Amino acid sequence: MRPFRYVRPGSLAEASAALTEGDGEATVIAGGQSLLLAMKDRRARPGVLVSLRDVHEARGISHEDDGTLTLGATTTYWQLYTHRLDSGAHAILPRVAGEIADVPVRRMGTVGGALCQADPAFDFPLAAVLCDAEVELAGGDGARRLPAAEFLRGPFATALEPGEVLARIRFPASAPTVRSAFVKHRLRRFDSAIVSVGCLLDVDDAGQVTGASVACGSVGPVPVRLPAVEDALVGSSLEEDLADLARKRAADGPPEERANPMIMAGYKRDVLPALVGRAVAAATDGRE
Amino acid sequence: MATIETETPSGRLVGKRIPRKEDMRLLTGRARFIEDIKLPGMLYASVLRSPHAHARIRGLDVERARSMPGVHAVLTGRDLDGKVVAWGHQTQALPVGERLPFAVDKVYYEGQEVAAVVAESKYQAADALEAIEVDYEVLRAVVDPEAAMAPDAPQVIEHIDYPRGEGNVFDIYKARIGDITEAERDAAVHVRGVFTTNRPHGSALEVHCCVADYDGREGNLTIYSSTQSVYLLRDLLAESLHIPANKIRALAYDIGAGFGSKADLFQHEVIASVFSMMLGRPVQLVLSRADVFRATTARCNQVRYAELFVAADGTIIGYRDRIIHNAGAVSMWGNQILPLGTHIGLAAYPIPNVHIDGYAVHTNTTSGGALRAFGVPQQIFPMESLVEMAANELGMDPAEMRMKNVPRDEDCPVTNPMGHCIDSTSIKECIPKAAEEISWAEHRANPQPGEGLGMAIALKHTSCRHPSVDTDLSSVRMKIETDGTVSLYSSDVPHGQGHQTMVSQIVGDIVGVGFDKIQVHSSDTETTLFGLGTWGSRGAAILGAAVQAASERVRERMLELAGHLLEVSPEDLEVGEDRVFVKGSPSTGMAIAEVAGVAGYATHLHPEGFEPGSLEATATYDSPTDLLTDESYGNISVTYSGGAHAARVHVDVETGVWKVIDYAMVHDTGVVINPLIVDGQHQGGFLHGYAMVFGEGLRYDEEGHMLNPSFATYAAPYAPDIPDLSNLHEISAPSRVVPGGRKGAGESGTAQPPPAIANAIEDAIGIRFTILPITPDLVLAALREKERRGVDHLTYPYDVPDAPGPHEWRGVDHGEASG
Amino acid sequence: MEQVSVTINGRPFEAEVDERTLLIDLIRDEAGLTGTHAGCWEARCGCCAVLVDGGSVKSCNVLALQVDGAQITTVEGLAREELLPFGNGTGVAVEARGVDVGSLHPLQAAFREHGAVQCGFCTPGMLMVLVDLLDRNPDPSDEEVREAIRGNLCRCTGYQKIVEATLDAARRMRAGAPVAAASQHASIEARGHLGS
Repeated sequence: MRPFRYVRPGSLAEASAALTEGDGEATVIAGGQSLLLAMKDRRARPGVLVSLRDVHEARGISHEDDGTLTLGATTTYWQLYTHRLDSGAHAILPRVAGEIADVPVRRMGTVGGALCQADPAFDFPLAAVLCDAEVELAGGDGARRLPAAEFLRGPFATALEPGEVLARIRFPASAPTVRSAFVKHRLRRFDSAIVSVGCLLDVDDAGQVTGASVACGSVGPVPVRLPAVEDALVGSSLEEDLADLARKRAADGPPEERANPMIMAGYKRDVLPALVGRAVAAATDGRE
Repeated sequence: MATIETETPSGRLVGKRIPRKEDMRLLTGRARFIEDIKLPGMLYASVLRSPHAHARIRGLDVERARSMPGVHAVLTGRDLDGKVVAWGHQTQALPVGERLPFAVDKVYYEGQEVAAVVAESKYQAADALEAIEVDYEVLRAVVDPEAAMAPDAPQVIEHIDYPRGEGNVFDIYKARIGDITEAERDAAVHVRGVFTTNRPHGSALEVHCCVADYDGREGNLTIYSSTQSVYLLRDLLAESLHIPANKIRALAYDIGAGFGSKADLFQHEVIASVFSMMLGRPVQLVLSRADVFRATTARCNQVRYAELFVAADGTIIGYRDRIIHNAGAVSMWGNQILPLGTHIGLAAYPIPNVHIDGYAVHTNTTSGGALRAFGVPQQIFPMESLVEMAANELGMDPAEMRMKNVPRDEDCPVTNPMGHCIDSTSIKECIPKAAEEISWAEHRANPQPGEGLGMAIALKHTSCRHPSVDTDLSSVRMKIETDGTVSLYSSDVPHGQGHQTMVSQIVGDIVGVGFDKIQVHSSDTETTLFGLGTWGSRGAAILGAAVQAASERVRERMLELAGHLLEVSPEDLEVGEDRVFVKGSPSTGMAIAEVAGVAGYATHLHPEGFEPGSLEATATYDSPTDLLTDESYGNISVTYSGGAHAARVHVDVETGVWKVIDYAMVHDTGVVINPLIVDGQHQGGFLHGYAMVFGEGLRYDEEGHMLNPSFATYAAPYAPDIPDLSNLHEISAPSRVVPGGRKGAGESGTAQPPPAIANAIEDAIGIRFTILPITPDLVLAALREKERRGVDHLTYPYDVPDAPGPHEWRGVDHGEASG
Repeated sequence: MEQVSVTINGRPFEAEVDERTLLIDLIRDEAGLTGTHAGCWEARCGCCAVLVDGGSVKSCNVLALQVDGAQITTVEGLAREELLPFGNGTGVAVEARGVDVGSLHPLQAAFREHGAVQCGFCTPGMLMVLVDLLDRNPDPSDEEVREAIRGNLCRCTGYQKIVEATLDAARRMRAGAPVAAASQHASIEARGHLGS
């Protein structure tokens, strides 16, 4: 690590001011699980670390009256994993958190950190894109909101402007009829994903799919939705073999594959349809 | 599971499941590993390493680093050029590579040492490294061992004239047993394959590290190091630094494992020593995990064009192979692995005709060195794959074909055509037991889609006589202190094997002193006698034999004195429960403490001719083994442990992920001293074999940059990634040569998992993988190719032109073979 | 330089440290407790795991400043410490100063009896992560134990005996085996600030 100053602002405004003062040298530290790895390698060389530890506005899990679920950016995976979220689309979040790394990493790593890191292999950004989440950014020229899919600009790149801090992530209200599944494919249980797939299906009493959201992570530069699969699912019935339908649609137009020298080119695209099929099957069955 | 001895053990100790003496300190955080050593005034060194795999150093500017805060000194290759002697020839009988503390004019592999700084703090040392400027002229690199043999390949080592090699080939190995043309003529079945193994790294969790402490008072250098051999470390360091051996003390307390990766002198040990001698201050040097991956040693990967010749009744009558063996840029034991691992790997079947040409080559990759089972897995992978292929062609049960060929214990000792003298073995009993344990016959009769069965066997050396180092020696010094406790000092350097426990079990049984009263001291050249170190499954058999001899000597001396004091003949005495007593009359006798007290403190009570002084003895054991001939004939191992493994594997054909659903290991470890330890050795041995097929192995891009110098990408298995290993059985065939009947344990189960699992995968999906590791991406690619071609069987990658690896046969040519 | 105040194994500890000081450096270099090991410095081997306010974290990937004010438990805090500098009175050598077999945490005792230790370098981290597991889940399955240590490498044992020992320790603890450890000083609930 290079030498740095460590500051502990008490509010988002102070955090933003500290970042601005840092003049490009300053970086936010939340759980630090990605940042510290980069700092130890000297790949990241911040001169100032702005801790969000004392920023209350960026903490906690809250449920708004309209059903929106708001996660403070410094919510740890562990807090998310152990939070009671068992209804609708939000039920996928603890499951996603529970698949990340291991307990010690989950106890430090934060959801905001994962979004800001924008690592294409991370699962929480996938969940945010899958659920049409919005991010709340503070500082700079005041607060603004952005869909997660727009916040994630590319591998390790976000829409954060200088002086901006990710404050909260908002997951829109979800009907209790929404079923969800998350499939994470990797060699070792501790690994990040080779391919991950999230699936939300809204199914009415008649067994008709009225809404579908399917996204894959770790394939391309950012997590992406699979609209062809979603379109095929909506209007279908649970009587049909939805998994097979999804598998075939996913095979038609797989997303562009981001090169990984450790994995044979084409593998992610080859394996994706099967994983999409499994995610849809699991969501259909209401099981993982 | 047998009962665990939780109380103070009594009665006969050998064979008991006794908790280890080592564990209390390791469990409570009171152990002392190298990084735990903090000496007054200690400084911290850090090494600048080459970011290129092959480059000339055109310029190196360390001036700015010298003036950085806290920096005491900076060293480069130029500073030490001509002052430090290159090492490596001692263990390899060749001026192998260029093992010096730093690259001087040229770097041979990414991560090679270029310069080092020593500073007051770790942070200052790391900061100063960033201030060093190096001007490199990047050269074309060669990574693939076959490519290294091409006439136009970049020359890795340019100025050493190897006696047996040319180009990047620096050593050759030949086996010429019988006449392979006879096997070719008589074979009913001839199977062959191009087998490529990978480059797993030991990755012991304690990184390579040391503390060097030079004492100017008498010019003594003390080096604490995470090493597997204090004598190799001391003697090679003495030679390299021109210091008399008696001025260097090498020692270690607790060591965070090795697996062969710490059995040598390493650059950081020399660098820390030089800094300490320059400054008169203790210097600690700890490698990072990435440094360990890039700049220590890894298993030598091989390409093999292997052929097996089998008679109609399943008898193996010939084996032919052409081996290209990657020993890396700067080989460390690397050329020894080729003959030794190949020769031992052929021990399980008496093959009358063997013809092998092997080439040890340099590439711009990290050093090839020892790793669990020293080249045996590289031989067993092709052999046990070919056996299964031949059995399939013959329509034989592969388990039966193996049983038909292996030696029987009732015929032992039996000498194989290659000269292995199998003194005892239960391998013939291990095979059906392993099969039975996974319901082999039932599953063969009723195959399930996506599931398959596979088996592999191996006999494994118990220590070894290396061609380069004509010794197989361990030593022990032992004394009964005047209070009846026992101290031992051994040349071995245990690092997880539980020597303190197993040695105490042997001593306790012979000398009669209680288990808890026996202390095996830390490895230290100042207190121990010369001996090799700990590797190659040596401890129980070789050190054990020395311990047994020393114990018998001490016992004899003790009984002579006790007999005199008790006025009975020593032959009428026996020992136990801390007492010497008359046979059949346990109450007539005296405490060992009393005898030992008299030995030291009451010399007038000694019998005439008794040499005054404490009850002590030294002993060594050097195995009665041969050096290999130029034809690869000889018995280089004193005895052979072994085992049969059987696997049932499921393959997910949609993702390419395979999973072992049932695994059985049946081993012959001779007389087992402590099953609690030996079980763990087999399970650990399995891990390193399994890792080879699961996903481990260093990988490089074409420029020689390592792609996976981190546990993030280096796929070491975690607990959920490996199968249950409780189906483990021992069928003991005590060694007929080793005193005490003991055999080595640590490596006899490392070679079997790759072929056992590859065989099971083939059985499951009809694809013969001849490459390691067998990762899901390869499996899926092969499945897709097989589907595309509409065939029942595929060999991967050989049959698939765009897959990695050789696609044309470049085996031993027949003209050459008949010569 | 910054001031850090924590509690380690029930005892207050303060130090003025370089901002770059990792939690593992604070524990090892400043507090002198060397039972916590660094095997990779990238949170992937687990040798460095300690409890922070009762929950396991990988101390090589946390700044000391991030846990200012926290209660930390290291492997040294697991066993009841009884200072017996002159031996235990039975004429038998004390194997590790200050603790004897009877004072071990049930998990430590089970590791010893099942042969779950070989080189022992990974052992402290394994213990701390598994103490965390058994605190949350007193009756884990084989699979749950393996999942709990899915970020802890062991290169020696093949994990089998670690898993068996943990299951046995869980049985003993459910049957009331005493845990007289400093780990009890820290409340599992008091980890609010880790969200930072």
